Amino acid sequence: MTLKELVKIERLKKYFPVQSGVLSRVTNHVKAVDGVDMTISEGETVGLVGESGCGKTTLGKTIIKLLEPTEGSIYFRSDDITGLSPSRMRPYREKMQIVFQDPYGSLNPRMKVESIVSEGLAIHNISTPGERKGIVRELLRTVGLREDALPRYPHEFSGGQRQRIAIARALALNPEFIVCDEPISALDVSVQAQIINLFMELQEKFRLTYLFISHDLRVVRHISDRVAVMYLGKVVELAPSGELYKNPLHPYTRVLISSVPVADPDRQKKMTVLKGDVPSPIDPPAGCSFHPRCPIAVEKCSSVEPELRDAGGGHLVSCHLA
Amino acid sequence: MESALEIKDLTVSFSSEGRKVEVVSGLSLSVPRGKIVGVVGESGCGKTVTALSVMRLIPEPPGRIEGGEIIFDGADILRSSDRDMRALRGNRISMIFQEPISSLNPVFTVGDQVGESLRTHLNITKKEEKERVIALLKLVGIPAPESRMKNYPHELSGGMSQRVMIAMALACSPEVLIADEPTTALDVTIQAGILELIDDLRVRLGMSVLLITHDLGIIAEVADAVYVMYAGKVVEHAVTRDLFKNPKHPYTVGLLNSIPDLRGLKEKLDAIPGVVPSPGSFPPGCRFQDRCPLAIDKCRNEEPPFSEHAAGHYSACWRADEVTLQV
Repeated sequence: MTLKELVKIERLKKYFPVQSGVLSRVTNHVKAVDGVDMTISEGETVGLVGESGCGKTTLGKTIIKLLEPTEGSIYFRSDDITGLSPSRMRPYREKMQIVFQDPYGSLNPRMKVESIVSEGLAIHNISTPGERKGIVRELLRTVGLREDALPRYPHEFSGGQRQRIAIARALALNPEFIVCDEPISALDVSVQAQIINLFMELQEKFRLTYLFISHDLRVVRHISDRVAVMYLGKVVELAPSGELYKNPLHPYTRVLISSVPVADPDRQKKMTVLKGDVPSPIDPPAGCSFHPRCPIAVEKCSSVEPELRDAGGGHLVSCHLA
Repeated sequence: MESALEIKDLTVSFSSEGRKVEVVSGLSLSVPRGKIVGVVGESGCGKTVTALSVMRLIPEPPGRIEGGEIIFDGADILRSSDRDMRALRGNRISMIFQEPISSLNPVFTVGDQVGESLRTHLNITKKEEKERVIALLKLVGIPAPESRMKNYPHELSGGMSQRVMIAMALACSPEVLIADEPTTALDVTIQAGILELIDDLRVRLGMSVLLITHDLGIIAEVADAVYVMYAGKVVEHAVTRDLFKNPKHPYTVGLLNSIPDLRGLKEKLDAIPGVVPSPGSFPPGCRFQDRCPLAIDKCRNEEPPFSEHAAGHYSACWRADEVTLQV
C-alpha cells in the first residue's frame, strides 16, 4: 500500500451551540468533536468505533464538510479545504462521498432509482443526459442490482438492496474517498456480510479510501487497515487493526473489545462491564474524559489531560498509564 | 426437564388487504425452568410474533392465532379468559420490549411506570409501592433511584431506559421473562451489563428466560439452548454448544459464517445470497431452498420434517447429515 496522504485533519473541532432562556442565548456548547488529528492514506480503510453519542457521525460529516468545522483544518490531497465557499468546494465534493446508516431515510421515496443514482452526475454536469442511463446501468451492475431496477422506487426494495442503491449513488461521481456511516447496522445479519464484501470488492476495483464508522467492533476489525477509537469527541487510541485487537493499550478500548459477544460457547466468559453512562459532551470531565469510568484511573487522570502519543509502531494512545 | 413454558404447534396469521398470511407456522418450543433459551432469526422470521403470542398481545384483527397451545403452569394460555390473562401478564409472565425509548410512556414518571404493575397485581400501600420501586431500580443498577424515579423517560439515556423496562418487567418477580432483543438498541458496553443482569436475576430469582435476538454472539454468551427460526418456522434446535460446534442446518451455518471474527481470522465473509423472504412469499418445499448452497430438487418440492439427527439435536433439512461448518 502506498502511504500517500489523501485526507488529513488537524485539531478538528465541531461544537454545537446549546440555546436556552426566552432570548435563546447561546449558553453552552456540545463538544461533539473536540480536537481530532488523523491522516488517512490512499486506498486505506480507517475504522471509527465508539459508543453512541461519542461524535463518530459528526466527525465523518465534518471531514467531508457536510458540517462546517468550528476549528481546525481539513486537507484533501494537501489542499486546505477548511474555509472553501460552497462553489469552490464543488470539485472536492465529487471526490468525497458518503453512505448513510438508514437506507430507508436516505433515499428520496419520490424519486426513481435512475434519478437517485444519476442526480449527482446532473448536478456536476458530467456526461450528457443520453449517456447517463448507460452509466447508471453500469453502476447498478457494479453494486449487484439488475437493470430492471432503473424505473422503480426505493420502497420496492429490501434494506440490503436500498443500501446497494445508496452505494451506487456514492460511486456515480467516481469518488476517491467515501465516508461509510454505519452502512450495515440497519440490515439483517445474513445481508450484512453481502454488503461488507461489496465494500471490499469496490475498494479493490476503484482504489477507494474509506472512513468506516460503526459501533460493531467485529465489522470494523474485519474491514479496516487501521482503527480509531473515539470517546467523548476525542480519539483515544488509533492503531493498525490487528495490533489494536491483540494489544489494546487504552483501558476504554479494552472494555469495548471485551464486551463484544463472541459466537463461541467455549470461550471463557469474560465480558467486562463498564460503570456508568457516557458523560455529557456539554461538560466533559476534567483531565482524561474517561477517568470517572476508568477501572485503573489514578489521581493524575482527573486533572491532567493525556496527549495522543505514539507508543511505538504507529500505535497511538492517549492514556497516562499505557 | 420440567418446562416453565411450552409452546406446541403454534400457528399465527395476519391478514392485510383481504389476504391471509401465515407468519408463524407450527412452532414448538420449550423453556426449561431456570434456564435461558435463545431464539435466533432475522427480521420477519416470526420471533417477535411468537413472543407476543405468549403474552396474548397479538392484535386481533388483523392477527389471528390459528392453532396450537401455550402451556404455562399446566394450563393453556390461549384458552384462558382475558381476566385470567390480565392476572398473569406482567405478574407471572412478563416481557422486555425491543425499543426502550418508545415502549415507555413519555407522560408518566419512571416511578409511576415501574409501580404500575405492583399496583395492579399486588395489594400494597403507596409507601410500600415506593419502597419496592426504589429496590427494583437499585436491583437493575440505576444509581440514585430515589431521584431517578421522579424522572420522565426523555431524561434517561438508552441504557437507563432499558434498565427501567427491565425493572418494570421484574416488578412482580415473574416466573417467565420474555426478552425481545433487549440490547439491540444499546451500545456493547451497556449490552454486556444488561445481559449480565438478566443472567444474575435468573440465578437469584429462579426465572426462566426466553431470549430473542438476531445476534449469535449473545446466544453463545448466555443461552443454554437455542432455537433457530427462519421464515416462520423453527429450522434447528439444540443445546448451545452442539449448535455452534456441530450445526445441522445450512441456514445456521450461513449465519455463523457471515459474522466477522474479532480475531481477524476470516479473509472474506461467506454471505448467504439473496434476501430474507417476507411472510406470504415463502418459497415452496423448504423455505430456505432458494438461498441454500446444498439445495437439491427434493428441497424445492417437499418440505423437510423437523427431526432428531443426534441426541437432542433437531433440524429441518433433507441433507442435515451432510451439513458441516465448511459448506
